[in-house]
Amino acid sequence: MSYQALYRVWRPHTLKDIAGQDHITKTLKNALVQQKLSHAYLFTGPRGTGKTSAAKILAKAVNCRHAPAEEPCNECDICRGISDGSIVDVMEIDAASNNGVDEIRDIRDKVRFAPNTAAYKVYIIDEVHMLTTGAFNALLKTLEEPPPHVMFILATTEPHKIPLTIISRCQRFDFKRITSHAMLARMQEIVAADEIAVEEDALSLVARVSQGGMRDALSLLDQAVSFAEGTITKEDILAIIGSVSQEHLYELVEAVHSGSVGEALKMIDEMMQTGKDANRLMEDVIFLLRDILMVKAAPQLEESQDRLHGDDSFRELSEKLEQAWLFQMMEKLNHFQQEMKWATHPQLFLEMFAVQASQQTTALPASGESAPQSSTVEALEQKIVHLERTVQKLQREGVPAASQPQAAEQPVKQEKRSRNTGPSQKSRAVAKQVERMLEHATKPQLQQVKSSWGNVLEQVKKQSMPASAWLNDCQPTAASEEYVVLVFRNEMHRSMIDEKFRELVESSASQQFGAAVTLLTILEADWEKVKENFKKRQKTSPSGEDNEESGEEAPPEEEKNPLIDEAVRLVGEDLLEIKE
Amino acid sequence: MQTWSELSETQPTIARVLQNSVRRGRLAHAYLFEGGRGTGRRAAALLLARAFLCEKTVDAEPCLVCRECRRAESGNHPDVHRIQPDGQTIKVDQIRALKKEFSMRGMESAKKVYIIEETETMSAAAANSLLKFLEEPEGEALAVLITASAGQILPTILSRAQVMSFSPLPPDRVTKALVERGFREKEARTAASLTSDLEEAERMFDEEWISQGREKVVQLMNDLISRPQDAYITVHETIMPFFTDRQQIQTALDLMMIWYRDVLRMQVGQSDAVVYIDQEDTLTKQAFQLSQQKLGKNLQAVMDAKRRAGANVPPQLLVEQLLLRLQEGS
Amino acid sequence: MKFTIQRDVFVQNIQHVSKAISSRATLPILTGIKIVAFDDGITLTGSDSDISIEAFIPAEDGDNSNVDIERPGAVVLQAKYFADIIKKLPESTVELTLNDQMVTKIRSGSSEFNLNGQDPDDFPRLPEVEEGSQFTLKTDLLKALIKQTAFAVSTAETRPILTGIHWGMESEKLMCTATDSHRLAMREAGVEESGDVEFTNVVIPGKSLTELSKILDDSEETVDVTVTDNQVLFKATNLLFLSRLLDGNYPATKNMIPSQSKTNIQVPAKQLMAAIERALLLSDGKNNVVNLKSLNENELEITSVTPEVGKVTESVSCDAFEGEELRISFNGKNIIDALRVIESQDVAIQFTGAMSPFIMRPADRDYMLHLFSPVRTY
Repeated sequence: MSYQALYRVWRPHTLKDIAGQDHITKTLKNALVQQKLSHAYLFTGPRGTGKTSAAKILAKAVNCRHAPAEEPCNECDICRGISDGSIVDVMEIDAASNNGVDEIRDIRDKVRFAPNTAAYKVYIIDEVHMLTTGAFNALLKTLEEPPPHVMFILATTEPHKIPLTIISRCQRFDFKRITSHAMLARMQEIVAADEIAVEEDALSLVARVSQGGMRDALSLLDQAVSFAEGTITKEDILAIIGSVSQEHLYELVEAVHSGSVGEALKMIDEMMQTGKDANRLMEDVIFLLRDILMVKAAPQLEESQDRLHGDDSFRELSEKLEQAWLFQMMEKLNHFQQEMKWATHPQLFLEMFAVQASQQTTALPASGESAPQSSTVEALEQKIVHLERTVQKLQREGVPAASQPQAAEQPVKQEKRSRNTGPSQKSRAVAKQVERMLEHATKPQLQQVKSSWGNVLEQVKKQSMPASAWLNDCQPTAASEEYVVLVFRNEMHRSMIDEKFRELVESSASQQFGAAVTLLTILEADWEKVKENFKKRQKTSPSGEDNEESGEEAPPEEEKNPLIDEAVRLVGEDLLEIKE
Repeated sequence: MQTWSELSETQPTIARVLQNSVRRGRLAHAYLFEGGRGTGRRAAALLLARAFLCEKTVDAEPCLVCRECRRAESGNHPDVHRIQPDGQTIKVDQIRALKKEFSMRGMESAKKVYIIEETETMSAAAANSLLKFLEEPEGEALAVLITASAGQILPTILSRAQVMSFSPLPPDRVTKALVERGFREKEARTAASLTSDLEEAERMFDEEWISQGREKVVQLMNDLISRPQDAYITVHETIMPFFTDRQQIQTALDLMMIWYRDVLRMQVGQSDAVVYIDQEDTLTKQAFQLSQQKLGKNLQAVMDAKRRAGANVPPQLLVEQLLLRLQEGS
Repeated sequence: MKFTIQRDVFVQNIQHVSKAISSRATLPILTGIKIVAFDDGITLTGSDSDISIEAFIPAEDGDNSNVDIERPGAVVLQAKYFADIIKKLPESTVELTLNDQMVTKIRSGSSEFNLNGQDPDDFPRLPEVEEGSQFTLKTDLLKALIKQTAFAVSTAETRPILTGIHWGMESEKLMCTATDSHRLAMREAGVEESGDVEFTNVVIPGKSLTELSKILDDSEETVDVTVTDNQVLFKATNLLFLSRLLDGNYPATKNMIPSQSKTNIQVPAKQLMAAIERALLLSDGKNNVVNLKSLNENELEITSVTPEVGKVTESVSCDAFEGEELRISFNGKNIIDALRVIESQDVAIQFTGAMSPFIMRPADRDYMLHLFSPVRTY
């Protein structure tokens, strides 16, 4: 067809057009000019780096009418004939289809025939690693005593499969992965010549994703031209390769790092719902962490510089993440990636990874696997937390909790305890306390409590079976920085926890949350009452009055009222009754 | 799926690139379609072949009724060649035959198409011998290579084709489609969480299989929580008789994994993301009782059980062992 | 579709087209024979996708009535069964009826067969004679053209286009060339009344032309040749042979032929061939190198050495010798292949030194040329 893919059209026809292999092209040019040519060359290196192109150019250069010269002229009849395949003296053989002894022997026999039109018969054998052992041996004989009018150019992406005896008889050139830099330069040349409008960072992304293969880069660029309407942007490239945007990836990694399981899971959900592929996402994460490790460990590398260039969020992220953590993550990721390959729903594995990885950071040594001393450390830690709490309590209340009224020392929190120690009065006191703390309760905090509650239970269970049994009955329903409200259905359970096991539960909880907390236990019925009262109070409170202002302005769409939003944020929707 | 507009409902990016390429005369000569089952690769390959061959395309859409279009579909188009594994692998001789076929001009026109399915099953020799041909075919040729995973394809092949990744259908869409077809939501959600292939999901409703299977697993999970000593009996009497072959055991394990995943979602307050929507109470309860650690362990235990099931461990044994692990520490 | 046909005519034509049918066809429909019935006769087509053969059975052939066509139509029937059935039917006429479900009823006497047929629209559409550039060749000339070039095509798959014979038409001259890159055979023929027909880069698989040669009946005087974009058609009276063309660019062989020479000799063809044949008696089959040395103006020495086996020396007298002394080596088998198709008494050979290709021609005619690459000896 008249249209040819970019990588075909822009195949280099001169040594100088080969990107990123200056060390090779320079040597070859010199050899051509000085006519110090070898009869056998071996070009090795990853795909799309220019091996076959270089071989074809070399074949032309040695036969060109203007030889000796460092480049073929590409104009004379010989150069043209070689380019369009009409000159029989240059033969491109694909070793995979012709890998047997017989085919090579046939070459050997025909090698003796003098070239028809050109000065040299050139055999370009591609993917030469596919030859059988017998074929290699047959080839070796010819390489040992090559006729003067013959040149062999062998090319392969897998040099380790070539017998040393062959390698030793060739002049070897190792083609390297093209640096992003060199790729960018060549691509810029091409887009300018072909008048393709593309943004700078889109090109950088293409270069990065192609991992050193020019052909891959041009294939991607081709797709981008078909996809984009107008100028090609970074988003276009991302859409094509199916990657999530870098920003999302950074956010995901951060969420995992900071232990926010919920956040991480939500983000994974979102990404999956937009049709991203779980395996792809896993790969993207791995590449991201790998890149971060690279810039941290070897910032001076050209590749590291390329990566950091222009990407501030990346820079920030790489500074935040610790190397040790990164290593652990990579290990985990590799493990999960393996499992994921055969999974029917890889998303679950992603989620499990997120869970396990986040737990790594929030889990204190107590709840983790690992160290033998953990139990001693654990015990000590518990004691410390317990002491801390007691001190705090004393500071607040002056005297151990049991019965006395106290003067509030600290301006912030004043808790009055009822003089009576009777149950009903006590419960009324607690109810009041609960009401008061509700003002400072926040939903996120409750969320955090809920998600770690299981850990607390486990902790408690380790130390006391009965305690955990009682504790099973309750539910945390509100949490502030210092308090957690536990609602019980059974009075006996409640009082057991409240009195007998308070310390145990509080210290376990404190350990889990990393901060001292006090428990407020309350019965379900009482809790409902407290909620009612709280709502009533909210309506007459300052925040309620301002509602009339907002009522005038905007239509009564609850979502849009910032004050209500704030209230919701603080205590959760259940506790609010919003009236127009 | 017969038109670009249909394709763009599930694979918008790919539909756009391909349709634009045809429209603007920028069709490449080699494509690699990668993606899981049910993502539409084969249909897309056929669509592309037709758009390429059809003489009466309108805005790059094939007419679907001309001889070219009809024969491309029925497999009788002389210039459309399909290669499938011969046994387990695609052999080098098949590629050789393909190359020989392509050394000639098309039978009816200058255009030729070849579609290789399950490309990852090509032997090394077959794959390597395709390279030169893939890169510089004679004449107007179009190649479409289809594979489940690009990671299993030789990088040298990948770089010669334009790689297009087919995204799986998001679970919500599958659920929605199933509900639209009249299935109950709780079961639709379950099916959608097991597969992203709409056809496969529908098949699960044959003979009420999915609804029964689901119930049984729910029963098991409930027993595990409230009557652990009965759990073993449930396994014997309810689970094993129903989930009989290896494939079904894997599904049972999947259903259990999804259960724990739901517990996890409850824990982090994402109750709207659960699959077992009618079990919220039990899920909530478990969310409190299990530490996240334990939950992670449970999920891992089920995953391990899945792997062992794939390794031919007798099913009953591995389910019982799984139960043991799940009950550990609770 | 409904018609009644003379069985022997039917069988004969079925056999013709069956030659093109291969059981290993990649396209399922190609295991069948296409039968088309029109007012003027029946057309049968068989194909293996590389070559196709169409046979036409006219309703009336002079005084004979071959077919009685009641209703036109078309169907594709499985060749395997169909051919055998028709052969074994009892009577001298056969009646074919096609119903709506593509089932074909075949009746002859008291035998009745019902065969499931396939949609004829699924059968590949072959190019028609009107679609391309046409010219006419005498049958014996065509056969000679084929014989004198087909032997030189390449048998390797490495360069598929060399497995074909290149046909080019310019100024009423048809030139056929075949090469495997180490030897080349070229044959020219004048084609009067080819009018404005000109084409180049028409490369026909050697295998197809060899098949064609076998099928062409000597009773046919001429063959009409049509060249289209993708295929070449050879039409004899009621037989049409089609072959696909090879894709790609055929090498520019004109450049391969040296325009000047340093040594010209003329030798009797038979003698030369016999000498070389004998010289090759000692060779191991793989290595067929023969050395030629000019002794004096009248004599050529031909030798061959096979290590550990022995050496052979031959002498051939030249009728003419002009130019420099000569020492050259070449593949003897290639020369013999060429000599076999040269029908003249004497051959003229032109050399340009030991490292350049040399040409061999019939001494009396200009219409044929053979080119060989020498072999390097050290």
